[in-house]
Amino acid sequence: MPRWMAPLAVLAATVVLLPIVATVARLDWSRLPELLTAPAALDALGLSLATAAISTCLCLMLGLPLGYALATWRSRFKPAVRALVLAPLVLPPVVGGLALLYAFGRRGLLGGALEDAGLSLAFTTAAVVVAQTFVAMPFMVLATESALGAQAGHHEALAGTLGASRSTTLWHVTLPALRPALITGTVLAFARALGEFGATLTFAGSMPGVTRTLPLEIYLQRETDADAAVALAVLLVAVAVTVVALAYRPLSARTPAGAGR
Amino acid sequence: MSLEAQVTVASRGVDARLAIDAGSTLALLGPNGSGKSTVLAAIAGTVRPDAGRVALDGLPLHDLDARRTAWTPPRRRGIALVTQGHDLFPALTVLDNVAFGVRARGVRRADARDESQHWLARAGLGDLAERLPRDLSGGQARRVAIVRALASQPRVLLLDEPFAGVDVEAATALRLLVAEAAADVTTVITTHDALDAHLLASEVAVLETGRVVEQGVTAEVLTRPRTRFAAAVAGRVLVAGRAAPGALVTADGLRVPADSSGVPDGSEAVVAVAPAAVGMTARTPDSSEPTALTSRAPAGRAVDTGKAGDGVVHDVVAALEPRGDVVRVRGRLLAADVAVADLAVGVGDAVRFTVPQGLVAYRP
Repeated sequence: MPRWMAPLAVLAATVVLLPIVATVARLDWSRLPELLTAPAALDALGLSLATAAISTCLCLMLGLPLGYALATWRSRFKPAVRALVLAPLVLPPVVGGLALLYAFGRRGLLGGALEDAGLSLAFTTAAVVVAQTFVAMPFMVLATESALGAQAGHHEALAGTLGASRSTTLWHVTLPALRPALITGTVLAFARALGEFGATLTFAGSMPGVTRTLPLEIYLQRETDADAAVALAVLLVAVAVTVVALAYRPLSARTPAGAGR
Repeated sequence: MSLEAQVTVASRGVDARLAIDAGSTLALLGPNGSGKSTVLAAIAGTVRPDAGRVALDGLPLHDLDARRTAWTPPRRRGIALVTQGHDLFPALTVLDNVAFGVRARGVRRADARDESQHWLARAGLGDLAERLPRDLSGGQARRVAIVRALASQPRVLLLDEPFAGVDVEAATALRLLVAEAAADVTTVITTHDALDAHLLASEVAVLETGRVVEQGVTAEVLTRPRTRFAAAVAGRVLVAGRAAPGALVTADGLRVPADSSGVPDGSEAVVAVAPAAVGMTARTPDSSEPTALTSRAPAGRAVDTGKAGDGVVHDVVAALEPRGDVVRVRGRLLAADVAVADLAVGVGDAVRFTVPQGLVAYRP
């Protein structure tokens, strides 16, 4: 790295770190135990962890096949389809929430049909999961697609010539090779789901214990008890940073097949 | 298993036909870019050709020429392919890679591991069992890939340039392994090296820009090539002319002493000359030399080539090709391999080639 880039790197780190440090500095340590164990706080934390965990599983189950399909699909429409599928990355979360309402809300595209089937999504915990899955899915899709990359299909084709079925090939060849990417995608998806605010508020509302996740609780507390908001914010940051620190490895650190030859 | 294949892939200019007897080994010989890999991939079914037919023991694996096209997916063909790329599954150990080939036959996990251990030991790779592919050298990885292919007990084994990009020592171990593998199963090996074809294959098919220009018994095709291209691949120079008693006479009137008893006098004939057997001396084009035919070189410079008495050819150096310890001095008609230390000519210099004894003229 050229020397002149060093100050820029430091500046970048400062931009990210300073607000976090400022938040921690604002903490009222004496009230911390009391604030963190308040029933509303515990409810919100529990709901956040549970919904984020379920959304992450959904992202893994659905985003992996989608990423795989995008990596192997040969079509001139692929860039357009990819851009649309990854739209939640660039969409303001509130817009995402509105879109979800128009699709699954009571008067939405599928809302009527869901209602008839006895399912009402909007303003339920399930809606929180849907909102989080919506915003977090692109991370899984991107991770899978980029990990498969240009090599997509070579090993699978060879596994075929050895006589292996497609499922055997998926479980024993493709998924083990994708493991680092899947971990990365899972961690990023979980962190994104945990921090989800806009889409959740728009699509699922803010009902205590049902749809009021930790980010919503922080936003509401800020109006009445700033100290409580800060305490919860630091908790959220701590959980997210811990998960990322433990599990996240940059994709580029993957050793490509047969490197070192 | 006898194999017949007709492969057409328009986008890569491939339109090749070949056939192999059960249990024998065919070398698909051609320079890089001649379409060898594409032919193998089509036989294995990893590439879908535009047209053609591949049949094992007469039963079609695919038939894209029939009115109702038939296509067998690679996993049901029993044809194992080893490519030039990174074939080993990167997340699996060497043992698990081989075991994958064994388990694909339906062997249970524990038995598959035992059997894979045996396969590796047989190939002298037992020490590598627990390594990951990224910790292997190129030659080791290639050997493991071949062992894995064998462990799947294919009906046909396809090896794409098994010795390419591997250092000399590793290539020796690989050749032993390939020779052993090819002894047990119908095998197609692609190579650009005539020596490998000689050592490993009973039959050879020469591929020129996607087309098989000659196929036959290896010794026959490589020592008596019928096309200029096959001769070049086999490392020989083809001299064409007409048969005369005890010689071949070129269009320029040059007499090359050769046994022409197999060809009627006056009909078209060729001799294949191995440059290693051709002698060469430098020549100053002076008046004491017998008068040589003079022709215009493409460059527009007057050069003299051709007749200078039986078995001696006056020529002009057109190119010098380094080949290990020797340099192939290529003239317009002939070529000779000269030891690097003895090389005293450059491009454009006049030389005298001495044709070896015992050449045989045959029909082109």
